[in-house]
Formats: sequence, structure tokens, C-alpha cells
Amino acid sequence: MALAKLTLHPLDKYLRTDRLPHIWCPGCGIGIALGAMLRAIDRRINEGKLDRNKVVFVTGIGCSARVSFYVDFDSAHTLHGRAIPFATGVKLANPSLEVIVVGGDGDIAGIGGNHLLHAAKRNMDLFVVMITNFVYAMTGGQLAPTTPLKVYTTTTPHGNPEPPLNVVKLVASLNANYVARASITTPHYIEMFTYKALGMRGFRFLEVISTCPEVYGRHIGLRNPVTMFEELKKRVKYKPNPVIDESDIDWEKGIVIGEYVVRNNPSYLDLVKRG
Amino acid sequence: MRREFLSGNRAIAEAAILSGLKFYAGYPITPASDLMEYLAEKLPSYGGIVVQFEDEIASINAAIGASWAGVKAMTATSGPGFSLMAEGVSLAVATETPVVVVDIMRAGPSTGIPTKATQSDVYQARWLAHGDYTIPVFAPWSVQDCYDMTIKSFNVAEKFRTPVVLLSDANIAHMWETLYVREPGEVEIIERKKPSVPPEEYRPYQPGLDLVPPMAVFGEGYKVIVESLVHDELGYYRQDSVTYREMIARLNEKIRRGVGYIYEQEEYWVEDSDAVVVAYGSTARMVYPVVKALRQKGARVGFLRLKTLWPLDEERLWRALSRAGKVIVVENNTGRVYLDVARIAGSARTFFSPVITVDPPKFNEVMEAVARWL
Amino acid sequence: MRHEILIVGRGGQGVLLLGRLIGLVASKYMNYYTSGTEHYASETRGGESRVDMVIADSLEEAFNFVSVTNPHIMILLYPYNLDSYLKLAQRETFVFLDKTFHQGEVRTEAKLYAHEYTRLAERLLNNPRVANMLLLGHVVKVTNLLPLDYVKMGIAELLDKRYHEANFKALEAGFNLPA
Repeated sequence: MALAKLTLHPLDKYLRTDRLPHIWCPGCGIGIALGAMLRAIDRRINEGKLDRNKVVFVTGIGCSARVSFYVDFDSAHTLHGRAIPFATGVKLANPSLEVIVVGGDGDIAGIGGNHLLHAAKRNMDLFVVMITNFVYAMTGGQLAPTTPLKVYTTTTPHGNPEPPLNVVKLVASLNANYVARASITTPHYIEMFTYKALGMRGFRFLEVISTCPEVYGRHIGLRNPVTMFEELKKRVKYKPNPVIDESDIDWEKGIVIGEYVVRNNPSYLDLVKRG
Repeated sequence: MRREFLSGNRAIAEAAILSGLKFYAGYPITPASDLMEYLAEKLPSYGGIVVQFEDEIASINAAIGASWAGVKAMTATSGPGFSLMAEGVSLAVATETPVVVVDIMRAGPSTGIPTKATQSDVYQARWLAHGDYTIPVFAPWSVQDCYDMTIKSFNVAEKFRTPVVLLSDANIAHMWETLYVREPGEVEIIERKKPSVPPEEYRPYQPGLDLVPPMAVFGEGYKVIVESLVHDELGYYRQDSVTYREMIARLNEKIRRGVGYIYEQEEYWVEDSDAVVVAYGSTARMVYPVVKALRQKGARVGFLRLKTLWPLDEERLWRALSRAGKVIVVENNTGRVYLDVARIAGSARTFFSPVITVDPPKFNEVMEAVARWL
Repeated sequence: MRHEILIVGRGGQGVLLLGRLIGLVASKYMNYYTSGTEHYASETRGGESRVDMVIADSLEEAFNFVSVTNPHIMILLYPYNLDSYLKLAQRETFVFLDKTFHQGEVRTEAKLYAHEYTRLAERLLNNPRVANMLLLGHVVKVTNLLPLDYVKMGIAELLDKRYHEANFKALEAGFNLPA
């Protein structure tokens, strides 16, 4: 019996398809974010601005960190919170590599928070994508640094007593050359910002607001993936030149996406003495 | 080869440069900081880079990242910082990353006495991290030894794709001595084995006969997978007992099988002795003249210095010790290496004689510790 | 041959530098085996600094004991624990003491050279910071331990170029003091 010929997805060439299916739940936003990033990388490669053999994905631990399983580039799935220092070592040892860090908000801004702020302070030549889902999903729904106030999590069963961390504001207060926020409900902005960041030097930070209906959705009563996507979409507002004071993530007032910081400060590699 | 006058820490730095060090990551800590300061001054002119990170966690992880980008990498610290590197060392074990970690022992636990030496981190060097693994640990006793064993540490790290601990202490770190420094080409420098197959045939964790997989690095088109989870030969995460058993067995066995290359001991008057004193590091430095003085008085006593603490060549150590009726282990801790020596020494009666001091051990102290059991 | 040298002073007087210089010259230009063990307090300035140095013909003689118990030369830039250090001195020990910081009597049977080295450095060279080199110049003259030219080579190797001249001058000024 002849089998119908499978049509490959145009981005399959950047995936280790033998490792599919992936582990992400139905309704998870990570796949949308990854797809948008790969389209941006594809554009850079097609333009001859990026060598596919020089792209390195470095991730820590968590759902978002599993990106390194599936991308068909040099990739490192390292320790929880330590993707940024690992990536820093990679970049400084071979500056010709384009080093991309992907992680969740717990990985990047929680356990790895000190590394994040120092990498931004150094204007280290890395592109860091933080996928925010407001919860520790892989471990079953515990408190994340971005979990909103009063929200139930498995480790704050009486409601989260801590106001959330605004990571965009934190990184923007440092020496990063690029700070932007997009949402999985606006994948074209993820692609646009990734494309732009890949053409810049220094520390580039992109927060992607994502959906996690399976774990976070259960906590806030948005268990249905479509409903959660729609609810997030309603709240996301793109602004061409947002100011940092409107970067707080507020489910009532809305979530402002856009490019918060674009500058051309000398990067670490511009300033460090090397042989 | 030329003569120099250097401190233990500077000798390590010089040897690291000769070995091809290109990336040093560290965080200031007494008594290791001057090693980093010396490298920060010199390494850029050899094409390398020295970065002060926000902590020791970042330092070890950056060194591992640099190694995967294809350069020789090192970090140095002391007990408290070494504790912070625990998880990073386990990452280097699991991902089979060549990296040299220098621990300049001070007095612990906790902040302890930063400027003073003990041998209290011996087990930390051996079993710092979680997981079932074996890594090489070297213990120099002089500035020359610091130099030579740093070269050896890099060679072992590259040859076996493993983290290596060079365990010095505050006494040796800041002691200055005449030493012979090698010129490039005068000593063997080993580089990691590269894959001989094209990228489409490459399996990143498929070992050779020596149980060490050839190492492709980032940027060479091999689409390398660095995987901290338990993985198969492709670097793919596996959760089954068979894969786990194979990986753990190989990680330990590649070191055990390399023991002939890794392990070194030095014997003095062991052949004809009724008693042998075993010591290492800066404590051995004072055991040696004590044993010599005892022999001058006619005592049939020998001295065995461990240059490698782990893995021990148990066969070789047993051969040297089992002839003696007594084995006396002298350490500046409450008995660490002693436990292994007692197990290995066979029929010899074994005694542990600590010389616990934060100052360089004195002749009389060590004499008392040894003579007590003769 | 095994010579022991004890160097004592206050942090900031260049005690460790003297040790490294003597060690370098002896190791590199004279083929001796040398060790120097440094002791210092946590303070960067002030506090006692000490170097125990051993210079020997063979590795064996240098290697065994790195502490000074029978000094051939004592260089005392500051009178910390003066009495206890002087107890180490034998009749044939050369003791160099900076009198700038010690006005009282010095009782010893050793060969004592007590001068106001720091004040001399101030007066002759307008620079008290090179007192250590001035004193070393005097040690070189009196003891013949190291040739003056080799010490200059050592200074040139150890110190930044802009400090060479001042240190050479101090060394020579010390060398010109009466033996």
C-alpha cells in the first residue's frame, strides 16, 4: 500500500524531527514562540547574515528550556538557572558564535536572577529570550517570580503574598542594548524582535508572555486553551514606543508589548581586553 | 626550561598558560585570588581572557561553556566557593567536559580561617557534587609540583573529558620557591580527541576503546548536544535503567581504566622499612624531613607520598604498603585519605595520626605524630 | 651550603618585595635553590610582615625546612618583636636594623648594623619608600651574599620601568654605606 508523501513544514530543517513529538502540553505557548524565533533565524540565514553552523542555543531547566532538545543547531541543555553564565563562556571563548539563551521566567529571573542582572550590566553579547508563563509548570504549579499577587499556586495555597517581578523593568534599568516584550498572541512581534535582536551587539532581552492552560490556567480558572489564549490576547496592547513605567504586567489594566530599550552602548566584547 | 622563583599560585597560572589555557572564570576568594590577578595581567597577551563573574556558580558554568566552544578553561577557588561550584562540577561530569578546577584549601567549615591552610577539603574534592561519579584529584606539595601537576591536570581533563581538581592549600599557594619552568614543546600537552566522522555520522557520546567519546565543539557544524540529563550516545534524554547504568558505568570506568596514567605516588625508603608513613600536600612536606631524621637515628621507617588522591591505584599502593608491618597516615584533618589507605593496606596495621594545625606543621609536632606509633 | 634569611617589617615597607627579589636573584642568576615563606596580617598597611627565606646549593637542603631557625642574615625594617627575633641571632649572624623606628639600645652579640635607613632614604633620595632597597644595598656590601649587578637585574625584571631608577639609586646608596 502506497503511503501518501508527507509534506515537510518549512521550518523542519531547523528541528531534530526524530525527537518529536515534543513534551509541551496542548495550548502551551512555547511552540508558537519557538516557531516565530525560527522564522526570524531563517530570514537572517537566508540573507546571509547568519551562519547556521554558528548558532548555539543554550538553555537551563524547565519547559521552555526543552527548546534545546528540538532545535537542530549546536545546543546545550544545562543546569537550572545557569544558562546565561554557560552562554557567556561560550560567547567569550568563540565570539563568532551567535548565542541564544531561552528559558522560563523561573529559570532566567528566579534561580538565575543574579546572572541575568550581571549579564545585562556587562552588556554581554547574548540574546536572551524569557518565556513568561507566571508559574513553575514543569514541577507542577509552584510560585514563580512573575506570579501575580494573591494568585493560588501549590506552594502559596493561601494566595501569593509577593508582588510579581517586572523583569523587563529590571533589565531595562541596566546596561542592556535591547529590551522588548511580545506575546504568543502576537507571534509576528516575536519574529520581528528576534530578527532585530539578532542584528545587534550587546545584551538583548526579549520577554515573551505565554499561556500555560494546563498548570497556570488551572490556578486562575482558565483551563481551556482557547479561552486562555483569547483572554491574554484581549489584554495585550502593542505600543510603538512604550515607556518603562507602563511595563508592569497587570491582568486588569493590560500588558504593554513593544520595544522598551533600543540603544547602541559598547558591548562587553567591545570593551574587554583580549589577545 | 628556565629557572624561576614563583609562588604556588603563580606556578599554577604559568603552567595553565603553557598548557594552552584560553578562558579563566573566577570570583575573588582568599587564598586563591592572586592566582586570578596574575592571570588577568598575563593571559590576554597569550590570546586568552579572564573574567570575574558574579559568583563561583557562574564561574564554573562559564568555564564549562567555554570548553564546549573549543578552548581550555579553568577556574580557581577555595572551600566556600568550591561548595558553590558543586552543581557545576556535576554538569561537567555528566557532559564529559574538560575543565580544571583549582581548590586552594583553607580552614573550614563555613568561612573558617580564610588565610590559613588545612587539608579539610579532601572529601569535598572527591565527592563535591551529587551523583555517582569519579573524578581525578591531585595534591601538590611544592611550587614545582604545582607547576607540573597543573600541566598534568589539563592533560588528564582533555584526555579523559572530565573535570579535574587540583587541590593545593594556603601554605603552598603563598610559598615562593625556585622551580623549573618549561618552554613550549618541552613537555607533552594533550588535546581532546576530535571526531573522525562527518557530522551526519557523529554520535556525541559514543565512546572509543578508551571509553572516551571524541568531542566536537560548537561552531564546527556537528550540531552538538550538551545534555545535563541522563542521555544515550546521541545525547538524547533517557529515563531507563539500561541507559542510566551504561552511562554511569562508563563515566566511572573511563577514569578507573585510566588509573595507570592518572595515578602517581612517590616512595622513599619504602623497600626496607618496617613502618611506612603516608602523607600528601603541605603536610607531606614536613613528614619527609621527619622520616629522614628518624632513619638517621636508625629507625626502619619509609615515606610514601600520594600525588594523586583519587583515583588511587589500589594495586600499586597495596604492593608498597603491604610489605611494611605498620602504616601511619598523617593528615591535617580528622582522617580522610586514611580510610582508603586502611582498607587497601592489607595485612599491615594502620594508624591515623592527625596533625591538625592552621600554621605550617612544625617538625616536632609531626615527629610526635609519627613516633607515637613506631 | 644553606643560608637562612629572616626579613621582618611593617606592611607597606616592601618586605615581601625584598623576599621575592632575593629569591629571584638567587634562583635565576646564581642557580641556588631558594624558598620564601610569607607571613602577613590582614591589614594592607601596618601589621607585621615576615619572610622566612632559605638559600641553598641543593634542592634537598632547601626543601626540608622552610622556616628560619638559624638565620645567617636578619633584616629588620621595623622592630616588631625585636627581642624575640634577636634571640634567634647567633654570634656570626648579620643583623640589619632600621634605627629610624627604634631609638633604644640593642643588646645582641651578633654582628649588628643599625642605621636610620628610612631617614637616610628620605635625606639622600627624598623618598622613604626605597628604604628597603637602600638596606638591601648595605646587606649586599656587608655580606657578599648577592652580586650588586645581579640585584639590579632582578629589580629590572620585577619592577615596572618607571621605578627602576629610584631603586637602583637606593641600592647604590646602601652599597656605599660603610661595611
